[in-house]
Amino acid sequence: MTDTNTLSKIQEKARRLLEDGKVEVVIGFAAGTVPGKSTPSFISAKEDCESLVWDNGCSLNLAKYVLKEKRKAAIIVKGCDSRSLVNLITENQIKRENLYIIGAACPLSASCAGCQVKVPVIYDELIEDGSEIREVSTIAERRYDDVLEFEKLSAEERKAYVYGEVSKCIRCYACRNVCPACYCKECFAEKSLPQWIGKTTDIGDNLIFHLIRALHVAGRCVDCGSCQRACPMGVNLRLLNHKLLMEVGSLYQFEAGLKEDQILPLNTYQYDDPQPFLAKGGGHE
Amino acid sequence: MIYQIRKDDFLSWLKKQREGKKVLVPTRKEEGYLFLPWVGDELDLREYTNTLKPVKDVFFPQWETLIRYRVEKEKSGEIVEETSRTEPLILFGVRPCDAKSIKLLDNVFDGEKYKDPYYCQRRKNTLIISLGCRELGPTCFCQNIGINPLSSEGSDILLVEFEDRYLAQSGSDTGLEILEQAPFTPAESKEQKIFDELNGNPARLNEAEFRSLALNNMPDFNDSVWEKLYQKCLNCGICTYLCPTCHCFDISEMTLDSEGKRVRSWDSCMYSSFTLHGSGHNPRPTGKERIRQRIMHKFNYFPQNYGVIACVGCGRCVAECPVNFDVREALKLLGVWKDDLQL
Repeated sequence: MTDTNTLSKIQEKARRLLEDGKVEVVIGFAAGTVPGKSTPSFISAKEDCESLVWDNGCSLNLAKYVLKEKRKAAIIVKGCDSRSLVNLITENQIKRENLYIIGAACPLSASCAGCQVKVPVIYDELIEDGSEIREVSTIAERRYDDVLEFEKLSAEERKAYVYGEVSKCIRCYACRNVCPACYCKECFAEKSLPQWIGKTTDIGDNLIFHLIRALHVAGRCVDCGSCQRACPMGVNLRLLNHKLLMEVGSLYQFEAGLKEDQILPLNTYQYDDPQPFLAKGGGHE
Repeated sequence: MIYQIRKDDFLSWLKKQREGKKVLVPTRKEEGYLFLPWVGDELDLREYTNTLKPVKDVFFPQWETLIRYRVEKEKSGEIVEETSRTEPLILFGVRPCDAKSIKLLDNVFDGEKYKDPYYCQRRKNTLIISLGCRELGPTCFCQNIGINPLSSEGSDILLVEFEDRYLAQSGSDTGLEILEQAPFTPAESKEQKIFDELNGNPARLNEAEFRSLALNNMPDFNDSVWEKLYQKCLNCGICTYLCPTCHCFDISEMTLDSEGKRVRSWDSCMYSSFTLHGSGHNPRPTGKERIRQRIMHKFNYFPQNYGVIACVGCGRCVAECPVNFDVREALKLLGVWKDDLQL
């Protein structure tokens, strides 16, 4: 949990930014109406900064809102939100100079398994709370235990598990819509001319949707877990994400959203790119 | 008239109904309670407030095939109407809010103007046994909008738990016929009194009062308040798909080579593809127009068309929204929620 000191520093910073006219809106969290959920809040009057909260309910990834925001904005971020911002900057979706980033350590009491980036990697001001700031970019250290366990299963068992998970899906697209990496203007899932996938919840359509969703964020997903938290049906979405994080990590020694100048492996081509999925490993003679 | 039955006797009766009928009961799954076919095992309703998915799915499924067709070269196309796949069904444990939602959907799919054969057939084939709410869930707000959590409206039979028994009230002629026979027995005046006490107008506001608020106080279409409302909404479909009264659908063709089927599936006003015209124009281009559509449809257009509010206060949209968009708060902001009611 966060001490009140961190919160008051956040509120003070937000107030100052609005007062000085540096930004028109501050994107943060306010108290929600459901226990354990804080709600995104867009504050444009400095008096309202007192309503900001920074607590266990602030699990949503706020970077999503920056994509649509036209005003000069400040955003209050935790570790993974900041990583999504880095990813959006490296993908030329947002301009760093248009954004004031207030960083603070992740306030969630139960952090996600394996999380190594509680403290923002990018910020204009970091609200210090005395916690140790850790140097990140440690792909090798991360172990995706869920994937390792899953890979021990037989092909039939793996298929049964994935089918079981995706068959729960009601295609509400909450996983897509909360994901800061999902920003296609037109999503394949909703295209009708041509229609890429059926609009049913038949296992085939659901499976294709989930596989494409996961592949589309490969090398871009920062593993914030928003998709899984948003899913009302409890689909284990992170398993596929983790598998692809592992693949991208081992093929390209890359993890998204760590440095503003990092080169995106799936946006670039190099002659000696690994291609183990091709026949004989696709090696270059 | 109130009837009663011992819980054990009721379960034996329900078990017997499985001969020839499919019985769906709230079943506990990892993600929550869902209506699933009952195999006759012990019912686990300890933490049951409501099912995760609304009961509309039974009558208006998330997707269904309407027709199938085949086209062969130099031959005229052949169309096969999908024959009904309904079977006699009993729904047990429906909450009164959801039972009411089916009444609302009847206006649309079984109305004077249109009759949807697929829907009507399922309705005809289904017996709804609802389970009144002695306690409300954390996001329930039926009482605030004039819905009684012990109402039999929309059910064939309403059961209310009382000690080792269920008190039962009929909501239809079919229900009454069942209650008039064993193992159900007419309740004594004592039970009648208990039922009346439990049922002593638990709705804090009547529906007509709320409806008139919604019809008269709703801000203009172009009011700036809509601007304020939509900001945090990320336009996923959770609120509409988990809503027991949302009923927009889309029709698409799924073809492979010379064969195909026409499929009807749920649609959501939250999606950017909703009402997207062939020209590329969309009259609801942003989240603002979509949120406005969702609220106006439920609280303004529907009551204008059918004389009743299209929300039953089940609170699923409140509980499951990833950004905590709370329709009660929205109504408050719109001046449609009665001020003296606390969230």
